[in-house]
Amino acid sequence: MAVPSSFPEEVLEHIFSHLTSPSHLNAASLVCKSWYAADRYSRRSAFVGNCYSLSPRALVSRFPNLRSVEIKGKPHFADFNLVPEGWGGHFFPWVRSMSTAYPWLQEIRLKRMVVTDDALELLGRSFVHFRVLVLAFCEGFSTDGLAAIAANCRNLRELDLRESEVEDLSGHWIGHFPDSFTSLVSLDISCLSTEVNFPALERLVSRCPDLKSLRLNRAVPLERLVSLLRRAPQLVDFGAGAYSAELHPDVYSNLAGAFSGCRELRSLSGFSDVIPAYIPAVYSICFGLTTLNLCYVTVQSPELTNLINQCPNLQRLWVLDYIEDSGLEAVASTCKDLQELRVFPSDPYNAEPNVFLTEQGLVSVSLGCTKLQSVLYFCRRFSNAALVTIARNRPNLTRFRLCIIEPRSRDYLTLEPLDTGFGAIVENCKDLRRLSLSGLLTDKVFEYIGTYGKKLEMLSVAFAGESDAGLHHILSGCDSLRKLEIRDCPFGDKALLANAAKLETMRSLWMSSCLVSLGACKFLGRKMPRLNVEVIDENAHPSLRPDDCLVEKLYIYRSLAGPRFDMPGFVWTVDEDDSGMRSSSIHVSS
Amino acid sequence: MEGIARIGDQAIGPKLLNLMPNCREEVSGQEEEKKLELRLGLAPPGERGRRHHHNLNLRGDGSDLDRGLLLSSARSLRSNVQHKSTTHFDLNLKDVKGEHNTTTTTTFQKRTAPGPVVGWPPVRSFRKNITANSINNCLKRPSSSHDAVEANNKSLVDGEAIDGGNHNYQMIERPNGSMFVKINMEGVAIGRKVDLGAYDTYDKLSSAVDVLFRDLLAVQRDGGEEAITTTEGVDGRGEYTIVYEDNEGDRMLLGDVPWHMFVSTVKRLRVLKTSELSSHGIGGRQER
Repeated sequence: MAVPSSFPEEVLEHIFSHLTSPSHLNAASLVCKSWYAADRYSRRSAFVGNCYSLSPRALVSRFPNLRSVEIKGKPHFADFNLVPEGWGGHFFPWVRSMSTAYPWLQEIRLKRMVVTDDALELLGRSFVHFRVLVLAFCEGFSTDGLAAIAANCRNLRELDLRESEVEDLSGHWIGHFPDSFTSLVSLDISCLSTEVNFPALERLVSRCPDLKSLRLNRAVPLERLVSLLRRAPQLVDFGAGAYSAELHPDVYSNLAGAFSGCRELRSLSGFSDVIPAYIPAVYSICFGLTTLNLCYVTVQSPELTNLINQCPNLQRLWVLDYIEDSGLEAVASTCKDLQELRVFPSDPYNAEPNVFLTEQGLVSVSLGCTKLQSVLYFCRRFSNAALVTIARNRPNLTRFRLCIIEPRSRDYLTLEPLDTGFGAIVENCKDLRRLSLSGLLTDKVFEYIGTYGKKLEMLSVAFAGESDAGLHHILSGCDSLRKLEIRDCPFGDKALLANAAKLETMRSLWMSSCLVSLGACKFLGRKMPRLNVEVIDENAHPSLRPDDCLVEKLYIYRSLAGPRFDMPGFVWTVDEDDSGMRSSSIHVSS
Repeated sequence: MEGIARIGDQAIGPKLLNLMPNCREEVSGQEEEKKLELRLGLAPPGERGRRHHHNLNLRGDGSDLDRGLLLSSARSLRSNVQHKSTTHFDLNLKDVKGEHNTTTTTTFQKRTAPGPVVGWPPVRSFRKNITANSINNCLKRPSSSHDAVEANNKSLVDGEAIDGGNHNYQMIERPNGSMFVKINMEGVAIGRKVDLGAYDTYDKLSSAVDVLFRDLLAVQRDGGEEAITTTEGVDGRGEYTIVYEDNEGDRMLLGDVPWHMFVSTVKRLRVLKTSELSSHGIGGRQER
């Protein structure tokens, strides 16, 4: 009796097309050759967490039928000016390879990459069915590139430029969407600094019936919001621009009326330069809000509290520290569904606190909001007791980022380091995936993290630790660690070299202002061919420095592509031929 | 053999060990070196006789054995470290700690005068600029004064009382921190970022920009390009002139407005050849 040895390929591919998780597909692809092949041809989306971990050509040849690609470029610390300009993360090589390989490509999502107008023009020309473009935290392009997208992508649904730096040459790019273009679902232009052509924007909003998400930039004045909201009452997510104008009763009532017409609104953001008197205009839709982003709203706690008291269904709240402890108490009692809280500093560089926001605010929320999973909190003092309380209240935390503004701050009650507090967090929150530390911390906290942080995927460390033991605890204990970023810690060669193999299991490691020597970098680079060990040195050629000199900035990541060839002059990698360091062999000018 | 890390045939043990303090520190005396040398191996002192797989044997033969050794040495290090506080690692590094450069964190004192640190607190630049502007706006609004006074009258547990009322009205013209803006120079492919928060006059900014690009131009010059003489001139007399783009997208000459106004409206800087200023449409919106 003949037993078919395997399913026909098409059946396998069909089955695989229902597996959406990349890790499941990766696992399936390892079972046997025919499953590998089936996965190859059926894979429709790819996530490249580090654009230098493989070459565009390698992606394209392994997965010939992708419809959606997501790529990330610069290290996270680039957000805080730790990565010099020109470091890399260029999108053009990717779009060049994909333009010929993926004529059916529909979606591109980029984060922290350098995107040029040329790349955008090529994109617009190459992908007939293109639907989704997300450029988050990107730079390098201008409104000319946006005009090319608008003009060429006839089926575009999503254009999202969140947090990108765009050279704003003119607001007329928005008029390049043809009159026949009606497919827009989501538009985020909040990062643009100058006005877009308002009549063109109005017409665009009018003719796109499926528009669900519209985030405007600061240059759209308040009076104009009314006309946009009236044209798009189906909006689910709205980002106002500047929310200030002369106080005028007509403007207010028009605005209130326009908002009340948007029954589907679930998310609000923007509202920069807000005048408190206009805030109640949104009250009519607050009941349905699940997301509220007030991190540009510079009003004081009472007004913020009044607003939040209107929003019992909030799941995500981003707010400035003007909310103060009292406002967070209101959050704790009103927002019972809250899952994510971010509190940003209004005046981060002033040593003196300008608002009454302390650890108590977060403690209140941790007690009152039982679904709280994700926290980002800037404040000026904390205590171990508060951290322990938070940990015990909320063992379901998955992301915990605490930034006590003054580096190496002690527990303000006991004057001890904050080791025990953070230790309680990692011990109690067994599903913790992301953690950022601050305050005075010894090696002890890292012992806790290594012991308990088994699900930890991303860890950010600054001004902490006492010795290499700290780094060693992290690298040897955190089984799930993917991204580690460290600055200003006394971690050096021993721990790094002792855990060299661990680095191949991670996406990347960033270390700046630590105690790693040039010699250790060279050694590591030579011993571990599947790691790219890159030293950033803006002042001199590393070959002019002795091996025992400390490197200022170090970025190590695993890669199948070998050393990159687009490094700017200040990025150095190990030269395989001699034991020195080299820059790129090819000079890439912008 | 044990206790000494090697690259190829070259013993690098003492050199690596010298790194624990700052590289500029001298490790005085043979005895000190010997102490440190012993410590590179992860076995506790007095156990030198142990098999050297416990040591950081970094012999360069490129085999998987290396990696295995690295792993097993890591394991043994972990088991050492899990002992009580007198772990081998800690002990030795404490010996060495006394020679630590003060930039490493051995001091447990709270810094009394916090200077601006690059990239700290970890907030994005645009946000810094926005909150700076908003703070200025916020301070001008009388409607919130009552509540601000209320809030500021509470004192913190450690005795730090905030001034009632007055504090919030202190005209903080600029935050005491960095404000990075991009600066590009004509003819130089790679731009830079300059921290406007570090200056308080146009002259200081001007000379800083001069220094910044002089280095870059020198590098380019070494590549065979002709020497470029530069004098940055706010007044346009030099060969190059600094201009900036404001928050309305216009290009402006540096120096027209008071410094604090400049700082609150500037978005980016450019260094252009003075001779070509007019073609860049300074002072008005560019039509594209």
